[in-house]
Amino acid sequence: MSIEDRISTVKEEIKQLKNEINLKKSNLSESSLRTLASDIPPLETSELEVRVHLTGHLGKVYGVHWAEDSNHIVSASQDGKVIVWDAQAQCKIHAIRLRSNWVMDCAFSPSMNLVACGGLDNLCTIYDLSQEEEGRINIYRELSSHTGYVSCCRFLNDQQIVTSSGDMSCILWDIESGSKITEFADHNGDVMSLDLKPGDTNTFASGACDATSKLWDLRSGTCEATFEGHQSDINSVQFFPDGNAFGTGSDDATCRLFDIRAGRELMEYTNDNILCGISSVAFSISGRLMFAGYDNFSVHVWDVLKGNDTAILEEHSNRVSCLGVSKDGMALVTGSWDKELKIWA
Amino acid sequence: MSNEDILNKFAIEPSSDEPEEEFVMREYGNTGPKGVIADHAEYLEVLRRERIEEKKRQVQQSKKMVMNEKEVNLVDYLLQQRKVSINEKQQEKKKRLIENSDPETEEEDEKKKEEDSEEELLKMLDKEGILDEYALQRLNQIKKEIEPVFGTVLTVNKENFVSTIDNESPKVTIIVHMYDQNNRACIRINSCLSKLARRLTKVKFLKGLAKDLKPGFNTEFLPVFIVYKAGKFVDSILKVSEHLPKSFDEDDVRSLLVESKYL
Repeated sequence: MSIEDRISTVKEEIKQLKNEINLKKSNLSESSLRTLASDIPPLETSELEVRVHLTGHLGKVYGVHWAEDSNHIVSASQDGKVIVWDAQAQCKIHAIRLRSNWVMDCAFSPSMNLVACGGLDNLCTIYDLSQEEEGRINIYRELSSHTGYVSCCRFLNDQQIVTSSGDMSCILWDIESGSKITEFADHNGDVMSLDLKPGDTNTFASGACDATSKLWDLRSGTCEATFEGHQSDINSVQFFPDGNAFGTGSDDATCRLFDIRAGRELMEYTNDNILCGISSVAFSISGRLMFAGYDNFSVHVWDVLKGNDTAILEEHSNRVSCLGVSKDGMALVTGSWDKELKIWA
Repeated sequence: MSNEDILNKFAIEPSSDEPEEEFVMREYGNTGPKGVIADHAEYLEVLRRERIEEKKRQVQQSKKMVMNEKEVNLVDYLLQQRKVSINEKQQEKKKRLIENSDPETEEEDEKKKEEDSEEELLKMLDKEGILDEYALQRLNQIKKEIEPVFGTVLTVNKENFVSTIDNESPKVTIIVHMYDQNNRACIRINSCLSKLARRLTKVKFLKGLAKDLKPGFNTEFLPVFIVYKAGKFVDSILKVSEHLPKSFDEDDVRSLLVESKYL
């Protein structure tokens, strides 16, 4: 038998074995989330509408993040600008010029004094909003140690920040000294996203291109748990509001809900019409709804318990590239390909 | 103006003036970090293509410059000839004025001028000098037609460039090498050409300093081969060293010329 034939037979075997394992796993469980939730009354279709348009960017919006006060938003776009908006006043507060146009994500610190952004330049640059010199905001710190692009960054507090990178590692930094405290290197693929556990400053979850998501302990620097189940790169990770579960979005066109205490996947959110990957996920404050941003620029709203599509956010020429739910759960902001930010409520 | 009018005046209209940017959705990697990576790759691709276009344009321009050079020189040559004939005309006038010391009236002067121009034409044709010159040229041409044999690389400069090329029989291929003394490849080619010239006696090899023949020519494209046949420009090869292997010898140069069908 030629090598190709042998490879294909082995692949078939692997597939079969995988299916058997999954079958055994599901047989062990008493029931699935879907069946348990079947007697819960279905959700009324939510009427989400665009309430505010924020215009001002000159390029596609690559990342958005709400501040803790649920009023300020920071967004980064292809034109090399990071803009801080006031959502209720609908105006721009700060506009920061970046050194590199290719920014992937931006974040607000809980105190709202600092803004961080990272991208293809392998650096996580931190800006201090309270120090404005002649109308320009200068770089506060430039955290350089990653050997790959910085895909995501999240502040723990004003002194510490965690970043995930395309060099397959995550790093916890001390901002004041600009040096790294711990390095989390256990993934086998580019780490695409991370999220801090709400209510617990010692844990965070990351999703990577090796189709696994990992839970890390910040103090010891070790991986506490690994969750498998996805078939392809995981693009986005977001904790469930109570912190005991997290949702992931992947290139295999599914979102999955993983439970930390159960240590396994709870539910898969997909349907046959969806063929493209998910690039961002966000939970509503109750946790009943999950917003998933797709690679074809659409947004689906999933019922987390029942596992079905409740709505698809429609708006004329709405091409969503990133999204985020505010801390108080009152609004959803979406960043779009056509340079606008839209706030839905 | 009412308040409404004022408000309308300052109302921001939806960007109808700006052309809608083309919305192109890729198959994979549109949003998120993968989208940024794909956008970056596209941007680099665009830059690379622009650079290639720019290079092409430069080569085209340089080629044009090489081709027109001979024509420009020809014009210079003809002008020179004309100057010579004008000078002679003036000299003859002086002679006549000296001979006829009596001052003449203007009318007569003009008549004489007309006569002079006719006479001048006849004189030009009858002029011994010109006929002789022509006879000599023709003789040389016939000689060369019978036996055009060379053996060395001749050096040309701006003045004799045109004449060296024109005074050749139409069967002979002329290869001009434009070089710069400081260019290593040029020096090497010159030595190869002198060896080749000894072997290929039927081909006329010329070499000239690029600074002299074509001042202002972009030295980046040296060495340059220009091929003439029957006094007409055939083709030019810019940056000959690029077409040859790193350490080339006269055989490589010969095969390059054979490949390009000039030999």
